[in-house]
Amino acid sequence: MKCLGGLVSILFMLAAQPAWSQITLLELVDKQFESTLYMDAKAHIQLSEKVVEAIQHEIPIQFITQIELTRRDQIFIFPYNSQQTRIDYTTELSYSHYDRRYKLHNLRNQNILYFSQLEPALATLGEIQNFPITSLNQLHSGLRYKLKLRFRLNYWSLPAPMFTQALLDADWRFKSEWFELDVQTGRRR
Amino acid sequence: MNVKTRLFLKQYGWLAIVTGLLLSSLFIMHQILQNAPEFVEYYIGLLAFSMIGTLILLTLLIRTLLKLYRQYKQNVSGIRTTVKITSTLTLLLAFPIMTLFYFSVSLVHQSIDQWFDVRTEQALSDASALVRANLDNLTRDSLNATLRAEESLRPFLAQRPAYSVSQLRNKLGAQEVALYQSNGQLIAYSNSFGDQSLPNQPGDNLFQQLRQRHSYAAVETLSPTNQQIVRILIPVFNPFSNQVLPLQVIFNIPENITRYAQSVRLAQSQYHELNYLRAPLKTSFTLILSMVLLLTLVSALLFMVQAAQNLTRPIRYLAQGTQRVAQGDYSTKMQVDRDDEFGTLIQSFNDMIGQVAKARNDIKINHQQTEVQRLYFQAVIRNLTNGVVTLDMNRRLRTINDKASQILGINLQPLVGERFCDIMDQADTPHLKPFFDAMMPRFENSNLMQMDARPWSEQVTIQHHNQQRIILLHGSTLPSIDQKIGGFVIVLDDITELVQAQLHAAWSDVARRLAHEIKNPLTPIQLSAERLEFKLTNKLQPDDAAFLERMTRTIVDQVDTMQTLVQAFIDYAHTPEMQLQLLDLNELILDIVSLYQTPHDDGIIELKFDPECPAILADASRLRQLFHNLIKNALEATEESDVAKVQIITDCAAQPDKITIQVIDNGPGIPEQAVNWIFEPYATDKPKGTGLGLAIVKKIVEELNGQIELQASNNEGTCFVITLSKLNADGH
Repeated sequence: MKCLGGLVSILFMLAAQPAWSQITLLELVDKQFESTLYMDAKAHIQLSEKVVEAIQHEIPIQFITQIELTRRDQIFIFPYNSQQTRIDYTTELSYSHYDRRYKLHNLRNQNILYFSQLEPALATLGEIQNFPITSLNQLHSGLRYKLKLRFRLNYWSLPAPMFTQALLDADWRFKSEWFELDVQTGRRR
Repeated sequence: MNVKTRLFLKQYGWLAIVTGLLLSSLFIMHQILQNAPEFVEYYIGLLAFSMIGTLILLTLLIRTLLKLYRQYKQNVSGIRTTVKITSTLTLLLAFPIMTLFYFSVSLVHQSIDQWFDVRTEQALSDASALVRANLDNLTRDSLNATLRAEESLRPFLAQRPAYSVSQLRNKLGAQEVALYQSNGQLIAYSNSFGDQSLPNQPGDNLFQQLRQRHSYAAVETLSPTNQQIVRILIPVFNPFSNQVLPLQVIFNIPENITRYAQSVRLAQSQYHELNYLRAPLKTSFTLILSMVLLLTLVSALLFMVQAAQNLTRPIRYLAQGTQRVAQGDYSTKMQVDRDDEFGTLIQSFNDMIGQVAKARNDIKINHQQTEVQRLYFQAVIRNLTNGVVTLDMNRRLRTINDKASQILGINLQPLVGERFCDIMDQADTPHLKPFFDAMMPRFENSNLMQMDARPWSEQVTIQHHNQQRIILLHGSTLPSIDQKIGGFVIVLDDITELVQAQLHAAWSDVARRLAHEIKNPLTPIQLSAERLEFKLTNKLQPDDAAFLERMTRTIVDQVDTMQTLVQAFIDYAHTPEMQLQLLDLNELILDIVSLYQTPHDDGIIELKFDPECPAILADASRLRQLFHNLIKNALEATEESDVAKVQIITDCAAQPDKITIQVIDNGPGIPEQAVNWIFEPYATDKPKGTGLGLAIVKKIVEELNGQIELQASNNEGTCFVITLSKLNADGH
């Protein structure tokens, strides 16, 4: 029933372009094999009308994917989170009227993918498969780790004339919440 | 660097630097918006810098304006001029700047809008379609050519793949031809470069597409050279292995077509981007222009306020200097640190103040000297034995010295400033009527010319407190070109004593002559008469003898009377040397009075002695004569009274250094008209007496440096008051 409700909501979101950008996490799992911690994630990204319009006017939009692995520590009775690993990479989404296709450019590994529709491009943007996080040797069994994922629009990469607008409009400073996953060390899959 | 330069940099330098930096920042922002997107990451920083800098300048401007407002309220010197200059310049500057801003914004908006119009967009779209159609035709032609060539060489491709791909490439004129296994493994290839570099491997998705026997033909851009190619992938059936082999042919697109295509793509891309950025561009340019406007206005205002303050500083200094001078500080000297007209003005002001200070000092010295002179003359006039009265041209009393008040018997100081004719009407000045009667005709306009011409003198007699005063008036005008300080001066001489002394001297001379001429024949007359009687009495008849005796007695009596009279004249004229000695006045008076009393009868003389009276230094015989005359006079005056009474009163307390003796009788008194001459010789109204008694009394009193005053009125008796000096501590 819960899955059905989620599906309905996704369909509803797909049906109409929302006024505000939204990101819904569909899946976030960790995988541990060959002494490495991997992550799989799938998120449904919906961009607001303004952002889509900008993309379709050939304004390249950069999205930063932030992945963070934190460790739960404690000093005396005071708990705190320390950062274990932090990975940020940028993906640029653009459109060419001439070529009539969307382009997804991973600035980290320079991979480029072309799409004739926006939705598959956004689906690809929100999908992370077998992403290596860290070596398992860096993790200690018995400690609690948390894997966090966030997408945000890099408004610093917008063209200069849009800065004024971006400063005043939340659409251009859009970012998702931190999606979190507790990681259990010592597990093999 | 001199002081002026340092001051200039301090006042304007920081403002110029800040304004320059902010304008540079806005200029860079403008360039980034238009021409330098690679510096876009600095845009926000520059925007923040410009905003913060402008806000700081705005804060400084508000602070400066508040300071000006406070100074305006406190009415600081020069602030009104500063405000006026600043306001005027602001209005003069703000209007063109605002106008320029309005037209600039309008122009920018219109220019941006003019970049985009339907024809341009349509032209770009058509160009794009044209290029794409061209490339599509090229792709289609390449695909058809490849299919035809593959069909002609199909039998050889499986058997002699290396030869076949080479033949195929030559036949098609392609850049590269490669034959793959269905799993993507390379079988054979040929390229136009003739080298061993590997062919451009198609993606897995294309192999997958070919395995499904679908051809692929598309224009692709090779990275990183951005070279455009036509990639053709067709399935080649291998009848020997019964497999489909992917055949890839890559055609070069002519360079001119590639260049045009890139150009059209770029133009279309930029057009779409700019079309979208049209509104943000307008906003951004408007923001930059607004900030330029604000910055220009704020900086200009700050510059103008500072310039106005600099301009009005010398005026402010001059105003402050003038105020100090107005408050009496003539030592004010302002620093001349300018070489312009203001410097000349300040120097002239310093010179003027110096001259004013010198003139004021001279005036002060002159005034002091005048004051000293005035005080000197006042002291002289005050201590003159003559009375001095001055009147202004309007006959108002200007000055009067103490002696004049003393002579006139009234303090006229409070009446200074009043008209002379009004003083005459005062209630307490009836005794001055003869004085005013003598004066007023002198001030009549008809007589003024004569007064101007020559001084005048007149003698008047006034009666004050039963005393007659003879005053000699000398009048003159005070010539002056200024009517304010001109007027009249009247000198008063109290010549009463002088007249009396002259009278006394005359009477003394008469007395001496009488004594000399009459006394000597009297004794022979008396002796002759007595001798006649002695010789003839026995020889005459009794009747004749009785007649002779009666005549002789008459002669002797008359000679005695004449001897008494002559003795009185001798006493009056004779002024023997005083034999001064200490005397108890009360005792002396008691001794004299006892001569007029019987042992058992105190008589009519009543004594009221002050027991505290000290001893006085006087001639006892002269005092005896004095009191004998007064007592005798009083007793004779009371002879007609029913209850005769004579009082002698001594008093030491009435005046601190004087002793007063009053001799009072209740006789008929002295007529008012007689008061003036009662002390003069032969001033008696009695049938008997020499008429010299009171004259001798007055003479003795004056010899003792005392005073005698008559206090009497009609039918109320007579009171003689004698005032003698006490001895001081030194016995003088």
